[in-house]
Amino acid sequence: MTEYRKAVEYYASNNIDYLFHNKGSAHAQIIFENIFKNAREHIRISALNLWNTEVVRTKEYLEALKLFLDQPKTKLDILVKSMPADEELTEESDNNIYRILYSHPAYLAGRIRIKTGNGKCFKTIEGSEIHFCTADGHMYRYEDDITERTAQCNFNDSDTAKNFETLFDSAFNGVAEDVNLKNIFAQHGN
Amino acid sequence: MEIEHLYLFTALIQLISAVNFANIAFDFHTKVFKVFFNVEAIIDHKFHRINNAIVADQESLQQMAPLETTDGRSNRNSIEQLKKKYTKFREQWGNEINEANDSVKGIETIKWFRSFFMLISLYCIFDIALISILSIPNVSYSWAVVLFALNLGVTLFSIVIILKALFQKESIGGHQLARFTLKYFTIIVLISVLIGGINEICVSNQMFIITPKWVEQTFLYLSIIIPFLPCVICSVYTLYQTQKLENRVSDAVSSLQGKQDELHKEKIELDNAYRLFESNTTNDNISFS
Repeated sequence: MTEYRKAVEYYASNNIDYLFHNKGSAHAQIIFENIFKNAREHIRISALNLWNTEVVRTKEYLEALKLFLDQPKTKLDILVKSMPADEELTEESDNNIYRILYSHPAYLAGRIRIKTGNGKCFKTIEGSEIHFCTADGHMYRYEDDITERTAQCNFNDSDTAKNFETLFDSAFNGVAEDVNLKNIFAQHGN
Repeated sequence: MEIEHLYLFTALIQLISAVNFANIAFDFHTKVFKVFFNVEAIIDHKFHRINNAIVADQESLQQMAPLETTDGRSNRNSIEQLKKKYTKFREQWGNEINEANDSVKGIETIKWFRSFFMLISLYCIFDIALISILSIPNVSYSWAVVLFALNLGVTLFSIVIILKALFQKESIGGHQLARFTLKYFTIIVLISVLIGGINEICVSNQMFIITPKWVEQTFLYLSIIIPFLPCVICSVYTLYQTQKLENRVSDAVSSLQGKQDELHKEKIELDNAYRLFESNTTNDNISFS
């Protein structure tokens, strides 16, 4: 895994057009870490609920995402199928991604937007649910099997990345309201 | 050159003696090697750049889910065949980098050069002592004969040590080397003194051996040349080995890179099927529902 991580870091930091096939939580984590570390402008994430502990709620994922948001003028758009229950969402823990996003200055600055499809998500024509993440118009990770976490990723494929971004923006802009983390946390005494 | 001219070089001989003494304990050839051969840049960086590509492709192939078309065709066999080719190639890569690292170790661990520096350091002491004796007015010419014999003996012994450094593969301990060097140097010194003594007896019995001037000059010149031999020979040898290793690494890396490019092209052909799949997917075949 160390060698795989080095190889991914090399391809990511050098913006090399290379199609990575990956599977499982460990690979997913390495890919996301490198997408976040190398993004400079805009990340879009489409996911189930961003609440899994195997990939999202890990130190590496969250720290890399924070580093991205620490950069000025970066934007993060998240479109989830559904949100975790309010009681879970407001729990005080170091790996609560929603608490971390809410606490980050970028949220107050309007650079982080979260929307929910309320049960709707991206699906293939066969009806399989898919998740994806894009960054800066040239990086993407596209998960076609959300159970096995089987995915393809490329750190420099503008055509495919922009296709995904167009799909994302169309759905994202079609959802009227943002998830208001301020109200949720306020209602639960935070 | 006359004997008197040797005195002009004593300061230089003293200086190079200090260098020789210092390099008994610290491998001079290793220092020269490290100056001219950056192991990290030349071996690690070049080989590991290829390794990044191998790892990326191998891992990608491991995770590649075979595509199956509606008419039953699949790319499973192609994926498996390419995986096997990569496994074999990875072994080849491993062998090449091991050989390169072994060559580096081989150069750095030549202990016979320490023996050479030790021999010449000891010689320098006697060299300067004899030159000083020869500076005394009216001193017996037999001391010059001792110096000539010492120079000849040390030159021959140096050739033995150089040949051992170049061709003896089995390792030898530091103490063993020191004992070997001291033993034969002592023998050379004793023989030189003996020859000087015999010359003195011959001269006192009016028995003279006339040596050509050029012979006398050669043995005198050796007094100045011998102290520099270890540094010069080590440097030349190390530079030669460095060049040889660089060429070898360069050839190995080119060959590996060529092979990796071929395998990578095969992987890209497999990837293209997925890219087509993806672009079809992203065009019209995904809905938000």
